[in-house]
Amino acid sequence: MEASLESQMNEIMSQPGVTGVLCADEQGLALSAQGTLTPHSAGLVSVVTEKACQLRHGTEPDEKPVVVMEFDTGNVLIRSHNNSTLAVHKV
Amino acid sequence: MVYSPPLDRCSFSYLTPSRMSDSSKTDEESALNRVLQKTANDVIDVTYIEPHSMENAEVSGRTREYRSQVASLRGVSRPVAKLPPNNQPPAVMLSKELVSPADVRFVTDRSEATAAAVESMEVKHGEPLVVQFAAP
Repeated sequence: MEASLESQMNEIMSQPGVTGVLCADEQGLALSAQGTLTPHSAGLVSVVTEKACQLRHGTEPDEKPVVVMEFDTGNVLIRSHNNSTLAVHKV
Repeated sequence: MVYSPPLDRCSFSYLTPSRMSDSSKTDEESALNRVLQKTANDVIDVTYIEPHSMENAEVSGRTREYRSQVASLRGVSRPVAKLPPNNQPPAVMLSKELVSPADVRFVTDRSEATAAAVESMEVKHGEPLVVQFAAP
């Protein structure tokens, strides 16, 4: 059932510099998580993209922003598309 | 009538008691010595080491040696800090390079592909979900 999703996640993890990946649904529930990103942060990731979309109110509604959080251990890039949110931890 | 002298049980023994004690005593002593030697080689007794018994030069030399050994065992280098220090003027901080466009493009493409994969998920069942039994 989730073979295509798992293949996508594995492909993302195989990219150089990627240490973690997380996919959450529109309710903030984790669909899949690998590496440094755990399922516990699925709700937070969904809320961050939701609030970021509210900040861009008035612009094109179809254009989803990419939220980047910078840490000492790398960057976490978050983007939602069609009721699913993807977070990638990249050094 | 024949007089028979009383039986001496000691004469029936293979070894006299004095001989037995000597050989066994020697074996025990040698075994004990072996155990003591092995213990002295393997066990590090710290009970008698006083904090002031070692000279400062020896302590510093050992510290240097241990640090060099620990540093040589470290195979993974610490990651370089990504965040810029916060003691710089705002103009310098704001002019720092942002996230690379390649990373943004990468996340955009992958999020679309992942969303398509999520939408393609469906429950597959081979048997009927509702089974009627004992129905008239």
